[in-house]
Amino acid sequence: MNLRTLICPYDPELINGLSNREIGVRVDSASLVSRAAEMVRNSGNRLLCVILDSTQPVEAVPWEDAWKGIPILLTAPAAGEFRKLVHKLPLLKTLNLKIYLSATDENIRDARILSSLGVSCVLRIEAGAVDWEALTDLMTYALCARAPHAPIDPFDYIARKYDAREHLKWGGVYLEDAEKYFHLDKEKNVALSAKEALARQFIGRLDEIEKAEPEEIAQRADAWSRNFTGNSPCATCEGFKICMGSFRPEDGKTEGCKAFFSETIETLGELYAQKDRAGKERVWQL
Amino acid sequence: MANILLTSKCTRSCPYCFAEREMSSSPDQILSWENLIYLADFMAASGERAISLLGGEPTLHPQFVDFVLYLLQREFRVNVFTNGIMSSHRLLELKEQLGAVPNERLSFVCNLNNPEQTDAPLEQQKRVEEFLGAMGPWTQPGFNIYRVDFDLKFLFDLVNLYGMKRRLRLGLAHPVPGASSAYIKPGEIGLAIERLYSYRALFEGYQLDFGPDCGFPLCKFSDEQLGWLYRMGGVDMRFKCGPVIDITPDMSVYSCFPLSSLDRRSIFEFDTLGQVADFFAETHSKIRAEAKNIYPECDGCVQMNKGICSGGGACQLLNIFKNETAVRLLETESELENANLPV
Repeated sequence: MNLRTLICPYDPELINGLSNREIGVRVDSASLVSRAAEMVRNSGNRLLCVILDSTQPVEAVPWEDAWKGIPILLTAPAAGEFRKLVHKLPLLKTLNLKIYLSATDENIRDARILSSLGVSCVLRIEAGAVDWEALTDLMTYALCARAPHAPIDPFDYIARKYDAREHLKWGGVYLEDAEKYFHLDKEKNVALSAKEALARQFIGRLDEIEKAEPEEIAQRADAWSRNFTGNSPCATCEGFKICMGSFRPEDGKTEGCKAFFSETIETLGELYAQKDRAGKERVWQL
Repeated sequence: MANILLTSKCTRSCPYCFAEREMSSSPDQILSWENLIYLADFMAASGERAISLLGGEPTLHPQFVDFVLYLLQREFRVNVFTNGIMSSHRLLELKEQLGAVPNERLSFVCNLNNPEQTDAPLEQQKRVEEFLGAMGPWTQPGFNIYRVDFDLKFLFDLVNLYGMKRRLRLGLAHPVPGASSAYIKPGEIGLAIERLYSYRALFEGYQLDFGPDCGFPLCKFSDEQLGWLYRMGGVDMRFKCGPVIDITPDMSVYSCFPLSSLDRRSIFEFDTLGQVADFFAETHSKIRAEAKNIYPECDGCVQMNKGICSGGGACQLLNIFKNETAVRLLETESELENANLPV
């Protein structure tokens, strides 16, 4: 059984009870960031990152110089007012930071702004209310913009890992990959995503699961194959290699997601062809 | 350097406005964030370190202050061409958000009209002075000569009163070929220069120098006047007309307002600003090949042949040419008829 990275709440008893694991620790207050990082590092475990779940926009987070050297993943509802954010940028650019934003229209715009200014972002794409056209535009920027800019995931991850011969799972960008991440509560109950952990949709306890993996894990990992057995329209979509059916909207209107993922694959194809012609690595990151 | 137009709206109606036809024929537009970022990338990739913001009136853009902050964060020097007329709210934003930016990084050129010669409501004048009161030290005065009896005295007082930068951006109001805005005709340029020279004591007394904008022909300055320009020190004497690149909110690009309908393209057709400049240099060459020069004596002029003087602005040439076209057509038709050539 491969040992997953554990995404844990900030609980000393829980974390000190683990050993030799890679741990992402969630906090909901900026004042806990440094303490949480130190606790994990002193517990005999490896720190993946501190996940700061903020209800405030990025510009309102009380960023600290002391956070340099701590990998931070900030989940925030929005970037906030640019004129307030701009004063935080000199510090933000020095941090080992990824900002997670949901893919609203405003956040799609702000992810581009942040990236162009050297701050790495991750857009949380969920099936449903996404402006696929705006997202396609952002994808093109993330992959093709000529000026150096910070990565925007999932595009950067997809660009680095894509292989035209294989399907690509990139849920790990959101720390949601049943083969790589477990989300724990204080009692070591395991969920396969943060959302499920919050909803207490657990699949079992850590020690039991690590003795014998439950069916749910394999089912989650192979969920994509049901598109073929279930005769889903996604199975014949040009974008399936990247989407894997994960983003099919409930209303069944797939024009948007189809266009987005197909164009992403097409763009990647062109970029790879360019790279072959150029014969050298293209630098994506600042 | 290129000018990025943030908006197609303006708050003033200058009698000489050479942007008026372009502005009135464009739908209401403002530059989007996505396009601003694209242009910043484009300029950076072209090796440009300075960006000018224009309009219409650029401060009308709802995100004007944020755009300036963004470009500064991208390490561009930002220059804003403004008429200084803005709401109290916008002025407060400028003061609060931009008041600490060093004036080597951010500058304004405030285009000033003589209130006695250019009809404008008192309210406008008041707003200009409020702007200068707040942003004077960042601001260079600008003035467009559109009548030979122009009066500059008001300007020296403003420069002193508001601590403005002591360098005047001085332009000749350009004709928009086919339009009816006020401008200085080629035969009047010498008179305008004499009028300018008459202010030399004030220029020297107020220690104000100036940078003449495009369209001034060298031959219309006497040797004494040229000496005066030179003695003022550091004057960027330009007698050439080259493509000034203007990029609109909808990402069209053209070479300066008066020529905005000629060879208009999309910025997406080019990879660098250099390519854009080369393209419009070709446009200028075509105009000059067809329309020759604004004075007969330009033919065989040593300074023209050496490339020191362009022989007037391309817009002035095109204006003459467009005005000639109908006459030449009729003349040419009747010439051919009378020639009784065998068919």
